[in-house]
Amino acid sequence: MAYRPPRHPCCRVILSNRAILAGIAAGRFDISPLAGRDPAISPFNTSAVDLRLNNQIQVPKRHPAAVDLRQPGIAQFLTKISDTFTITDEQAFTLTPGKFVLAQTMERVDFPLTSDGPCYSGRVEGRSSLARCGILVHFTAPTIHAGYKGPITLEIANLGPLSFLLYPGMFICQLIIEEVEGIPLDAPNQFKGQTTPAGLTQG
Amino acid sequence: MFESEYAVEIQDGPAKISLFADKSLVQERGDAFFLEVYLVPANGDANGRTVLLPTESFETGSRWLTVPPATLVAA
Repeated sequence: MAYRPPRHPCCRVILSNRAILAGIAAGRFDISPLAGRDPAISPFNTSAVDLRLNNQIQVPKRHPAAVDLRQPGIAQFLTKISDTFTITDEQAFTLTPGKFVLAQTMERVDFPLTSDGPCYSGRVEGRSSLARCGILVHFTAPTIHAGYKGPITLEIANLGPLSFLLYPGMFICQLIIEEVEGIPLDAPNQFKGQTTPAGLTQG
Repeated sequence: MFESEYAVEIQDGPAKISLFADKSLVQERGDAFFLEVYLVPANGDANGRTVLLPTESFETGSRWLTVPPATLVAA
């Protein structure tokens, strides 16, 4: 029997490719649609899974005002000062040097909160091939917290000297999944809270 | 804002907070909109209950929010 040293209670556990698939199969968390389910080939690495770029690129525009994040309506303001582009296999987005855009992954993740077993969180990291070209895919907020459900938003910037084309479906980042030590919420349940009646906007 | 999300504004006492939420987490019922949240069972009283938002709001930088119990319905 192979030696397995005792695990310190404070050790973080990063899931292997097989453990990621096992966790999905067991309903502990979800990533879909996966680009493949063979752990020995793409989109899997040994301890991460590659995610793909979705077909929308959001480009923030310059604005003369300095934004006070304490003031209300920030989400609505950011919506108004951004242009959204739809990219296709025939029409890519050109990420020129110094450009900053927002994008999302094709894959939607779900890390539900539960009190009857371990919870999981994710960490978005760039891909080394893109990094060597000067392309960042996240800045300072890589964590996908336990309890999050939805696509992953990426902050993409080109710090290199070359322009690059962004196509939908290209592998753009990798997701590392970690087991959360302890239960974030005791007996969590999902509720719906009412927003202000006039507050919901649709793009 | 992506097509897959809404810009959501929530009344937080006298203030308002905003965030982007995936459309799958928002339901329209009549003339009211409901956002899917996690209730923190141990926190709160008849005046306010603590919930966990899908993402942090821009104005507070936090996912935690105290809401009037009357605004909550089971998912």
